Amino acid sequence: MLENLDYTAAGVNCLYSLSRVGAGVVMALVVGVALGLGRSKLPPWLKRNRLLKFLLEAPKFPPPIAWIPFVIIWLGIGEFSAWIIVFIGAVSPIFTSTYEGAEAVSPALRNCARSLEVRGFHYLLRIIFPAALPQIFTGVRVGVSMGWMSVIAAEMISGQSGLGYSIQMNRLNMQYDLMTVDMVLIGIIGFLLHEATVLLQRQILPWHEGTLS
Amino acid sequence: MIEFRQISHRYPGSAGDLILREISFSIAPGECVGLTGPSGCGKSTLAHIGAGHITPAGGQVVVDGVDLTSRPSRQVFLIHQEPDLFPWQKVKKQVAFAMGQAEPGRVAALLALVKLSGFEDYYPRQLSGGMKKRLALARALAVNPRLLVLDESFSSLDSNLKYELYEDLRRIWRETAATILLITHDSRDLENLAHREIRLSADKPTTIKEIRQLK
Repeated sequence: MLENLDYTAAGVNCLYSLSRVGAGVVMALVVGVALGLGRSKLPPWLKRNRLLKFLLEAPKFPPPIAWIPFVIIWLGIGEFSAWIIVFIGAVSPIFTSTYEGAEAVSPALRNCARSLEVRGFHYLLRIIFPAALPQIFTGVRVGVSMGWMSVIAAEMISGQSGLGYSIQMNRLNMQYDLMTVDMVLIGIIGFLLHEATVLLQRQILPWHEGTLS
Repeated sequence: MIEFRQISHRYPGSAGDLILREISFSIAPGECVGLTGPSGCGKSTLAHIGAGHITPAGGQVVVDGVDLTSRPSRQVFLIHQEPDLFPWQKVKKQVAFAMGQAEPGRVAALLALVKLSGFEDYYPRQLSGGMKKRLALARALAVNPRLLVLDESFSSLDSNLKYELYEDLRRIWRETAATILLITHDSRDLENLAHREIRLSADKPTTIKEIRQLK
């Protein structure tokens, strides 16, 4: 089955896909966390505003693959377009989990911070952000998985390298054994990415109940 | 001098009956006052009003002549039954963070005062219930508030641990001359610690039933 497999090309394709996921997820992390924390700082009447809620929540429902034609029209075919597709897949769960994590910070901790006169940006950075980190990591885990699925889809449609592109090429060449190898690699790497985020969480959140246990 | 002046309160958003009515008392510097009363009479609400976390329907909290009503500040610091420690900060960081400016020598001294030397690099989750309470106390002392409010801080502890904490608190008190409002339903807390008892009434709205000198 593997006599036609070019190990170097397979490795290069894996690295291409991984680098795109890395870039897209980092962008999603920066934007998602900033937006989530920013939304948590809105005044209560604005948080309850249904129009704003719709505007913030509705864009996450079209799947990342549906954005691919738009991204190609707006940005063309290239690395940056692949990053943006990953970004679209990863940003929603990170944004949502950051906001929900920030909203879930207990009134007791908030009151304690107020009594310590921790205010403004420091309050967001030193109280709300670390308190929300366990939930942010939940979003990152989902975001990385979504990003990985998105990049494969993007490469299948418009890629010139990567595992998604490799599946398409192998399909056109009717090399079904190599398509299967690509599928197995996608599964293994997806699992390893998930495990890597869990490991990262253990390193960054040794204080967290779930992490310690 | 810490003064609670004519404090009245009703639940937020409610135009209904008052739950606290015109409660007034003062606490002298270095004094420990016990605030007692039946469950649900509003002791904890009064503690939160004192700390500026809740805006009362009427009245003022005045610390050394400054009106601190609805203004959380380092002047009045509250310790709950379940200490609200920051779970991501190690023991020494909790105390240093409360100080505002890092003073390693003072952090070490405060941790020694509450018998937590050697636990500097532990997270709150790794501490026992009694140790968490002592850490909360060290953090509060790091703030150096004009009034320290202990809201049922000794409940949920077994008798041995409770007496150990009484000893610790008495020792700390001698060394720091802290002013304390001790909210409790346990007469042993009063006997061991308080100079004066302010008992709230059971009827609604809650008022002061009696003030009793203990020491």
